[in-house]
Amino acid sequence: MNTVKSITGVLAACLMLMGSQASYAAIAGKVQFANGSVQLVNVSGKSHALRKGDAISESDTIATGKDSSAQVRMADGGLIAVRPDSELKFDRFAFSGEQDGNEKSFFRLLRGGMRAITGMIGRVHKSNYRITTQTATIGIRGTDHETYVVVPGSALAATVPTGTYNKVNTGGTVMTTGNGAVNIQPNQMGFSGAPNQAPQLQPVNLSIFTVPSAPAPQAKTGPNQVRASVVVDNVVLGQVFIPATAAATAPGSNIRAPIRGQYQTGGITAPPQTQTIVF
Amino acid sequence: MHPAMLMAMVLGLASAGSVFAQDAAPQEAPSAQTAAQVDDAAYEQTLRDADALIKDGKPGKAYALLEPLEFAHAGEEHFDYLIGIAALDSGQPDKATFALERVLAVNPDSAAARLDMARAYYQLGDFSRAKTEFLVVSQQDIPGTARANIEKYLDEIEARESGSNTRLSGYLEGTAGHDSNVNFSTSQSQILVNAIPVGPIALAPANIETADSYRGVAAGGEIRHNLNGNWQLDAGADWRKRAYNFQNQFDTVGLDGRAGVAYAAGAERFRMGIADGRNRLGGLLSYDTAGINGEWRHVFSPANQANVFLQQAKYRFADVLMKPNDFDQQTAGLGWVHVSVDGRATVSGNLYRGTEKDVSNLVTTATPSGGRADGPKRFSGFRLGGQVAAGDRTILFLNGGVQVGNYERLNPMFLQLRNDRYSDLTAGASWSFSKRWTLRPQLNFSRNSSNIVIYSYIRKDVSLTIRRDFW
Repeated sequence: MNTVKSITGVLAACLMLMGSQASYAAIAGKVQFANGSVQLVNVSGKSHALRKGDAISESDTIATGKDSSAQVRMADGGLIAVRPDSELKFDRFAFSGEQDGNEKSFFRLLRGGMRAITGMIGRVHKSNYRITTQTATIGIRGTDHETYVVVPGSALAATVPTGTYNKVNTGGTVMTTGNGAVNIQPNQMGFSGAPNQAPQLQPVNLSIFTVPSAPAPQAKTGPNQVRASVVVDNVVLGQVFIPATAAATAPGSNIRAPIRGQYQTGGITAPPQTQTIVF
Repeated sequence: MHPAMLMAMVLGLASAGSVFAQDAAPQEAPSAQTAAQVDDAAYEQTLRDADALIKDGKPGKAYALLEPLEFAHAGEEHFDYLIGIAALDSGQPDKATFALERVLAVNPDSAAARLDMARAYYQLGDFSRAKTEFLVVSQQDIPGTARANIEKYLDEIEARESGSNTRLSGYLEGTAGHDSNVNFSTSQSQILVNAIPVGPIALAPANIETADSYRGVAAGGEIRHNLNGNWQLDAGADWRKRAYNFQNQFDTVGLDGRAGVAYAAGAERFRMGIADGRNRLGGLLSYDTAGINGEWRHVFSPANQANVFLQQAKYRFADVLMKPNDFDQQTAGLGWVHVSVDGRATVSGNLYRGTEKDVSNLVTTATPSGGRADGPKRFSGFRLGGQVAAGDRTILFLNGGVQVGNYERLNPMFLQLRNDRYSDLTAGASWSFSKRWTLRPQLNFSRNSSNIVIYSYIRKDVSLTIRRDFW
């Protein structure tokens, strides 16, 4: 009996340890910013309001309401922004701190938008990072991109076709469907209307990828003072840098015409003659 | 280490430790209150330090100070704005937009955050979103200088949008001025020549310093074509003419063309190019130039960039009497550009060294063994310059340089190895009195001091130029 109790105890301890290890490993990230109505729906379907500092685990879904948004700092150093009126599921996440091939970061964007600055996952093993939607899969070849899923019945569906949109800020992505793939470069937008349609590049649609809400009429401008001009403005301020090269013409070449001189010879034994010399 | 950095590291370690770890057990209430007050004071000091660093032109240090605190303080408007502008000014527009998104999510009315968000989009090359936000913020209550800058951004975006991947630019200039030394000549009319000990030699009038007034006209254009996000082709040409009122034998006409290919990735930019020029003097062909050049530019931050450059050029004279002066020139150098924290002032400089190899095989009295009378030349020098915006429409500029040249062959006439010291200084202002019109008064002083007197000169040139830019 004692032996059975001992074995049961050891097994229970092992299970607890495994459970604790598994739950630690499955923490994908933590909320660093939540604004408005932001809900977390866990794998069993239970939901609660998400607050700054809350952990996001594998299989959790973040759902944002109108005019609400959230940012999650991922355990691999990446950043995820969830746009208003969106649902993002953290499908799979594994990261031990090493890029040994076992790291994984898989998302499922059900509706609305997200932005991702990737962390360590995907740097070496690019296939270990992907975003899946109803109509496409997005893999990364770089660092900063935004994805938007317009679903039927949503406000945007009245103005743009339903489907998946992907815009790259820096780096690059690959949008794949069952009928092909397209590489998306910085400031390009890919679109996939259906899983069996080939994805295509389209002009960036600002009605989808405009982030900040407009200010209220007669708005006060806020506590921070507007910076009238800053260092990055030099790209448009007409700053003409001194040419990187040396003086275009060396002084030696400033000799513009032959230099001539004249002198007299003779004078006593012979008639004086004027000689001309070119230096 | 800066005390603020140390404090930020301590605060940051505390914050970072809590991101993916269990919360620490609560402490006794009075201690916790005291600790919280200390933490609050340290945090407020860190914000002040970061603000000061940004204003002091050290946004990278400010970002390093704030970044460890981002998880703990994201969502606080002032913190998010500070880390956003620190990221923007230190060349991390992607991180800047992430932080500024938070400011605008909490306070969409923040004109400060929206303007910097628009700048960050522009830096990311996202001109459509930049335009949207610039237009929105221009409707808000912002200073006139900010509004003027926004107009420049919008003009630039419009030019980029209209030209898709190809962009044209051009200009036309008219100049009136006075040149104290149209022929770059010595002021002495008589000189002594060691190899001809018959007494002073009288220089021809054309080789004695002569002043005159002039009119000038110039035009140029450039085309740039983006092949993709990294590769760009460019080509351009400049034509200029200067006509003196009386000294028409020194009227000049120059035509220079250039073309190149550039590759940019991240902070690196490489360019290889060719250049070609044709110059006329007094209505006759004077000399041609042809060369290749290469440059590697590294952008450390929006405020600082450095470059390494190489040039190879051929100078070939047309007049048979000038042919002995033909030479090939090689130059290598290092340069630096610094932009002030408010983007309104720029200082730059470069150091360079080079050689000139005389290549003519014509034999004359002055060049009995062919080549140039003074032979090959080694030179080195530097250039420094700066410009500052004075108001919204005027830029004041000042630049100059010094070059020392040592020739390697004994001059057969003067029996000396020629040594030159050339220096120049240009000061002026560029006043944009309307969107595409600029008025530029300018004063230029140049001097070549040589141990061989015929090469010494002082020249002062004062001019007023009106310029019209196109596209």
